[in-house]
Amino acid sequence: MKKVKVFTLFLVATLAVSAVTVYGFAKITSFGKTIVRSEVTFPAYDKNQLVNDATTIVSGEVVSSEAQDDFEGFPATDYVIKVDKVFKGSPATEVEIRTEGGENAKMKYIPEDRALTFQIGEKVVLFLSDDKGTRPDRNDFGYFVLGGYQGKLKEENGKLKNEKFTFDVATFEQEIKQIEKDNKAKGLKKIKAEPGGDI
Amino acid sequence: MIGTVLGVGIAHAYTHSLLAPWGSDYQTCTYKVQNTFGSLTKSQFADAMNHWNAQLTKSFLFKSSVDTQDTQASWNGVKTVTKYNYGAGFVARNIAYHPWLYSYTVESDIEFNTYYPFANSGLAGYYDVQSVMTHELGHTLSVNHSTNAIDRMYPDSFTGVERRVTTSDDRTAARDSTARWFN
Repeated sequence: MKKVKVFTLFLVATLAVSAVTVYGFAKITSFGKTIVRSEVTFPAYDKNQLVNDATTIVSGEVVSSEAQDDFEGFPATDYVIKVDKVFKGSPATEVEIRTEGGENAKMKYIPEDRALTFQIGEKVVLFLSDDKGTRPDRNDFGYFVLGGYQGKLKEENGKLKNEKFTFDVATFEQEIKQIEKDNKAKGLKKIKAEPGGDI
Repeated sequence: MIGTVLGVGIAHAYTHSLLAPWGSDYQTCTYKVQNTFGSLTKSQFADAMNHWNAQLTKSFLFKSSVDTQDTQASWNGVKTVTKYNYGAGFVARNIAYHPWLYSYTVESDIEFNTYYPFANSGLAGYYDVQSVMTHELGHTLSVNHSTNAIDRMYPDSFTGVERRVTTSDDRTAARDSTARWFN
């Protein structure tokens, strides 16, 4: 009898390991759900365009997150950021941003490797856009992070950094103001389709 | 970073990684294009497919002669290319579906975000439709992004340029990728 129990346990463990190997961890942890993966190409921003196209630039702390479905039925995650400093624009004291990816009853949506993720309590600087196009869920959240990974900075050794941009913490505010002045002088336009343009 | 072929473990010189493959039942992938795309755009979609097909050991990507009225991606058994004004975010994206207990891709949809300016050329201030489509179709071949800025699978999109031609590394990655399910 003991041998049968040991054999059964061995069999169950072997099957579990095989299942994880064959189908992948994401499948096992999302029982019954379709895995949806998206690969995205973002606009390539430089600093001037990033500052120019941002409706608001803020620093703050991530205080909460909530799973949502976007209007296409794909899982998304909304984060609330408690704003502690504003560098451009006039946002509220808390801003709600929407990011791709998350999980609902039917799907686990895995955005690409460089997609934005946030942790509760994380301190960030964000370049945000309130341009939400014609999507019917545009009133469900406040902002997108501009250019995905390009629009989120984290402080590290006196620098605000992401994989593309670096700013000095001490001079960040001045640099943003200078870039805004330069952009105004150059008449820099947003990367945005003109009305009537179509493909 | 050296790219590797998932499940095979062979190292190559390209910097792309590979995504989950299609199943061996999928020897072709035919997209239905939203009927409101212009005729030149549709023709450029077909050109982008033909360009990739010429890099492979056999043709995989096709444009259906029948258009779709779909305006959004969804897992509905129909592979679509659609456009919509999603607001500031992605220029385009390729969405792949892997049903529960399937280790392979069964559907792909491509979305263009018309919040951004597109043109049928490398006009200054516009994204070239064919260049963007070529990039997205690379994902349909289960090829992920490259870290080499000259590759067509480099992730960021630039305005004012035509980048419709794949590099030899793009091609090698695509051949390695498709070899996983091509009969």
